[in-house]
Amino acid sequence: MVSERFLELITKDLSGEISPAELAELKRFLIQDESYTKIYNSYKAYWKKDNVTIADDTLAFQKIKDRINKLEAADQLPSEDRPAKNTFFMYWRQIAAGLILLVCASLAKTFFVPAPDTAIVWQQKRTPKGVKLAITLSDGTKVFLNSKSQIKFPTAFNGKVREVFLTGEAYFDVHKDHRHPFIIHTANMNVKVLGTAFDVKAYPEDAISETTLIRGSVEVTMADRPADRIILKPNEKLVINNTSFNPLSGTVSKINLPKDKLHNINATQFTLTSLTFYNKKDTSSIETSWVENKLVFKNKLFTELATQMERWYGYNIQFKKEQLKQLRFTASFEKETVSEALDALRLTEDFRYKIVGATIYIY
Amino acid sequence: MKVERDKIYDLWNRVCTTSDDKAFEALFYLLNNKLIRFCVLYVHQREIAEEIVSDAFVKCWINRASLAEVQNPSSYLFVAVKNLSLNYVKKFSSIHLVELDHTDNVQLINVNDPQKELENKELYFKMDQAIDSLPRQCRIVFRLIKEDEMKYKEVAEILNISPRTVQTQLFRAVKKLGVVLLDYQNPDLQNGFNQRNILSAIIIIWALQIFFSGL
Repeated sequence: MVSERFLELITKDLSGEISPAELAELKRFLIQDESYTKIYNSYKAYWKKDNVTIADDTLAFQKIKDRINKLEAADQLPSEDRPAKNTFFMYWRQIAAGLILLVCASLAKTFFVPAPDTAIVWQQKRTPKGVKLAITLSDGTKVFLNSKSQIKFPTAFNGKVREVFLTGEAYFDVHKDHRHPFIIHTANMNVKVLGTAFDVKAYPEDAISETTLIRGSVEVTMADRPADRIILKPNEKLVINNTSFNPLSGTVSKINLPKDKLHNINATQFTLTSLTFYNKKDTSSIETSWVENKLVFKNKLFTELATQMERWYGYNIQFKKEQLKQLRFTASFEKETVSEALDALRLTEDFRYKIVGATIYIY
Repeated sequence: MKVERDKIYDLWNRVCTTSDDKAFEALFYLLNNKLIRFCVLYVHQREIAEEIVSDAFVKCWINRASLAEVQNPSSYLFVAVKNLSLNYVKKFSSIHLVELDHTDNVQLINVNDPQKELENKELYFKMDQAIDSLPRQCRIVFRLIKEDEMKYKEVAEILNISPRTVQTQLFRAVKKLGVVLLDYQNPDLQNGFNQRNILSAIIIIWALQIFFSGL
């Protein structure tokens, strides 16, 4: 371990706050031990490392100038009529006039313009089983709402942020506008984006919530862990467990704990995974295949598949034999009817089905 | 540094007393990048930082008449940007920030000794990471002193803390870097022991296997 005093001297040396006596002490350290010299040199080299990023200053300044000009024009200061020789008093009068106008303008704004935030008109779209819907929001954002989902959005976005509320699954292609972040609220996660394409899946009956990013980047926060911010990069998927029990294990916890207690015991678990592609040549991922009207799954349990098929075809699916739920399938359906799809699945596994009204029995 | 401070003070004076827009422009060029870098430490997003910094400059110009008394214009601007950033962060604290498109920096490698250069790149990257993992104030102190060559006093003024705290925070950052450096310079000390352990375990298992299969 390196002595604390040595590091303290380095700290002072790097920041240029070292006294001559301390400098001498530092030098003694360096002579004493070669490894100290090595460390010292590394610090010095890192400190010198130049990581200045150069912004386009001229462009930025032009923008500032434009803003100032606009502001001054709004103040109605006739700058051209100004006498060439600017006396101190003239200048003060201009400032005063400007300030008064500014105050008047802001007062007028608060009095006469109704606050837009309070008057948001919300619109709701809901899709039943087996139906999908494409919506274009007022800002140009495209939303593909999967079946059995619901989205609430304002008729016009006029606040600082663009907010929508989602239950179920939707694919978003968000119109780029970094001044107005786009936020999707679901039961237990919030997704904030500036402009990007991604898929949010948050069906209340499912065990997990998913966010899949196609391009750009988004940040996700969970309702019960506001401190954790997860940033997704393209082709990453975030999976959040919705409930405290794990349905994949097949047992459902029977203990009824108060909700907040449950919360504490089991803070939301999450995992980051990469996208699953149906096959290598196929560029579309399973997560977003539904947007292209395809039902795609890979090595999925029959129970999970059944839930997806229920949404897809609008039937109820019931298992008569428990063990059939554990079967796994990989397939891609596009135009097949539900019976065609089930017949195809029967080719690989041994089960039978019966369609009675809107219910499919599997046995 | 001293020269630059005088220059900034002079430009500031010309802006405030004679509404010299050339001086304003020069001031902007001198400080824009530094302020943006500083702002990013709070808001984590370059686009937002650029916006906030230009807000600060616009406000300065609009209020220039009342700012002639400012003694240290550079610190004044840093504090203004800090306050605007904190306001922004507060406003969006319930929601969060996103970096949009990541551009990968093109890395140039010293052809004389590319291996060495590559190693240093890796080391510096690790050191940067170590700094990023520090608490916000500590991180900001470190960056202001390293990248903007500020004195303890200036940093203390901007962050509204004592110079003593600045030193403590910087010391903390330097200590953290020390851990990375030691790790990097003597990797054998940390890993060698473990590797030797695993190796001997494997040999023992292998020997046992032979012994039992012999039975």
